[in-house]
Amino acid sequence: MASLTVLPQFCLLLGGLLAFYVLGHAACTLAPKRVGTRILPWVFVGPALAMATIFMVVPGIRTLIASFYNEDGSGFVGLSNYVDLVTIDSYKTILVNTALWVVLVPLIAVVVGLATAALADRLRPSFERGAKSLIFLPMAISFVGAATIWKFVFDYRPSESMQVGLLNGVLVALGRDPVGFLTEASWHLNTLLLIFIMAWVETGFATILLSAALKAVPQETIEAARLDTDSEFQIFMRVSLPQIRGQIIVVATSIIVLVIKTFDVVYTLTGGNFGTDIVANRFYFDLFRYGDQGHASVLVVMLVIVVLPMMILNVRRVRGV
Amino acid sequence: LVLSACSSSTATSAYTAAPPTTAATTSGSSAAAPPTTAATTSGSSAAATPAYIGGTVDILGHPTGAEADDLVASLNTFAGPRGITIKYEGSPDFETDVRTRTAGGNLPDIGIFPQPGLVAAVSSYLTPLSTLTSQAQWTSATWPGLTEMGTVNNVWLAGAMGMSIRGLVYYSKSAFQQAGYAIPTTWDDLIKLSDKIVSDGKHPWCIGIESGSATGWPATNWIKTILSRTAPVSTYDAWVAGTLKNDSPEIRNAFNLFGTILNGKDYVYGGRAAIVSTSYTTAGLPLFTQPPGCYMYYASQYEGGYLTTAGANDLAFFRFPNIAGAPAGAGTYEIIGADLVSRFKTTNPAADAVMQYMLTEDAGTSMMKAGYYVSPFKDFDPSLYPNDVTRQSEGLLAAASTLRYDATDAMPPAVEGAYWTNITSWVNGDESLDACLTAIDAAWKK
Repeated sequence: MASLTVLPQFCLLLGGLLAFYVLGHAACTLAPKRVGTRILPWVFVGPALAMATIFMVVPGIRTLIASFYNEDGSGFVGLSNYVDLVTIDSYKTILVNTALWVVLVPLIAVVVGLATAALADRLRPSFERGAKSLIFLPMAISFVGAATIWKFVFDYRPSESMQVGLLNGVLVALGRDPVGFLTEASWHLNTLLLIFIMAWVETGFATILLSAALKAVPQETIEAARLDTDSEFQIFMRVSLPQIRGQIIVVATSIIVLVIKTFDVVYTLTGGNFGTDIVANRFYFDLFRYGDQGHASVLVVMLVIVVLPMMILNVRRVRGV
Repeated sequence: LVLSACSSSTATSAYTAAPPTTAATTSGSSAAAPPTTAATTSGSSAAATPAYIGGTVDILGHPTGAEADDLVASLNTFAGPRGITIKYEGSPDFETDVRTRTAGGNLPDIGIFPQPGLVAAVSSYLTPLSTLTSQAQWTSATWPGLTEMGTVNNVWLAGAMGMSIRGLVYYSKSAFQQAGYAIPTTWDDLIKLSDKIVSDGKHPWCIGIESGSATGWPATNWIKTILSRTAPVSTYDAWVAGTLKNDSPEIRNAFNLFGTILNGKDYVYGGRAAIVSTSYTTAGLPLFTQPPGCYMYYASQYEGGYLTTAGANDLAFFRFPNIAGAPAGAGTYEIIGADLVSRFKTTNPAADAVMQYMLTEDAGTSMMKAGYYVSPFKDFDPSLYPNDVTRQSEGLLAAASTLRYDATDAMPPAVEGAYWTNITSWVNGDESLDACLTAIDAAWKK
């Protein structure tokens, strides 16, 4: 109902935009040529810029400001929210976990993805397609779906009852006691399992991109290397790999950006309990459950600060600088 | 990032935009209310075809699934003949949704809250119920203490619909009979019985505190019930108000007594891992397996509702026993939870009428049939309850000197959230009791 009532305004906005383009374009063609060609690009890019400012820059600045205020934005608290981030235990856990996620997910995804791509390359075309499709399949599943699937793998039931979880089913069949995989925080076991799920999903992404990159490596360079050595591994490491370095960095940074913003897997499986909390999950709880704008904003600001270098790196690569 | 930044900005702008709209709706609804009241009451007393009202009522509530179906069915008996369409939206993430919708200015007409703490948090968007019905009449018809639970800053904003009593220990009659166990009436007996069950090579307790992103709340119920048996109502009130710290001898004692059960060797079916990963919806089921996985399951009546199918006539409960050596006044009152209904500040005569209906005894009839709840009305017909368990639990209300709302649900949402998370960490052994209590107290300061 609510969405229907704004329909007229929405149409008006679209119509207005269209009129702005048409009239702006007409005005620029009518204007003296030197002035017209200067203004025309701004006419076209203007609405997009305005949108980006209203929906991204302004809220971004508001978030930054909110991070220096208390939970409902009514009182200035200076840096105290930031100090909490490094002094309160539950926030410290988040920082440690986030570091684990950022390092491990890209590492596993790229290494396994690269290995799959390189090995599949040597298969017959039909097998190669099959193998890559299997690896890519998890990409088609939403994170919540993936998390739910793995919940059935990690599920714990008391030893007296039937095991529903696959892993515990195997353990019990081997005569061992079942393990609460998702609740066992020692050695970061549960966090590592959550990381594994994410890597499982993202490996497909890495495989496809790196496979394309490997196929683009000039065959001549590899054939030339074969004259010098018999070791295919050496050829891969010293000839192919250096030539796809750029793509590896792109894949790794894209995954890092994604991982920093991860929410679904943790929310679905542990809700951030048992020492598995991460930034996006806690931010969500702080803002929506606890009504604490200040701490939520600090977490988001931290997120941006960490993501920013990755974004700059990627934009630069796209530009070819 | 964009999304987050966006929502935080809408939140702030909505707060500033709220007062004028609010003023307009209040005056509108209070002016419109008396005629509507007159129309509905005369209509129902005549028992003829009720007057047509029409319109749609947008209800946001925390009940989902079968519970929600019962509720909507119950409301439709009123709304249908009057041409009112009930648009019910059940949300498992009610806490989040109600905040988002109030902050975004997209108010539902009626809200069904699981916690008075949340009612207080969004109280500026709620209509005083005295504009819709007689507060004095409602108060005298319901069990003592219920009006106070829905009152924020001396304004009555929420009425209870279904109540669930805390502090019941469920068991299987046949299992107790076969094993020859007696119902414990004191805490010491309870521990002795637990030890005996362990020495018989079995597990006395089933505990499950998993509840998705709200994991931990069933554990907080233990603390409330134990506190109600070890401290007078004034201590309980001070705890809810935040004047009694969690890091105090009274609360520590409650945690430690709960710890006796948690840490007792072989006390709990499946041990710690089962406690934190078993959903409260299924935790009690091993009572009825053959052989029983456990013999006792502490729960509120609400969780007990999940046992009615498996347990059928075999399901019974005993009151969580009093604890010897407690100061005077301890163990005389009962803790309850309730579905609290509130009317948001929207202009909608149909919603006014439905809200008035929801504050009557009839509205809850279908909900009571399910066995999750007892009625807040003192003269509710007991034959409408589905089983003896529900009828007996009503007896606890009559015996109680007064009722108190579930403590964590009455605390600010931030504190309640801290309670859920930290008690889970403590139960799972990730956090010491000191760290747990300090973290909860820290949430009060915010």
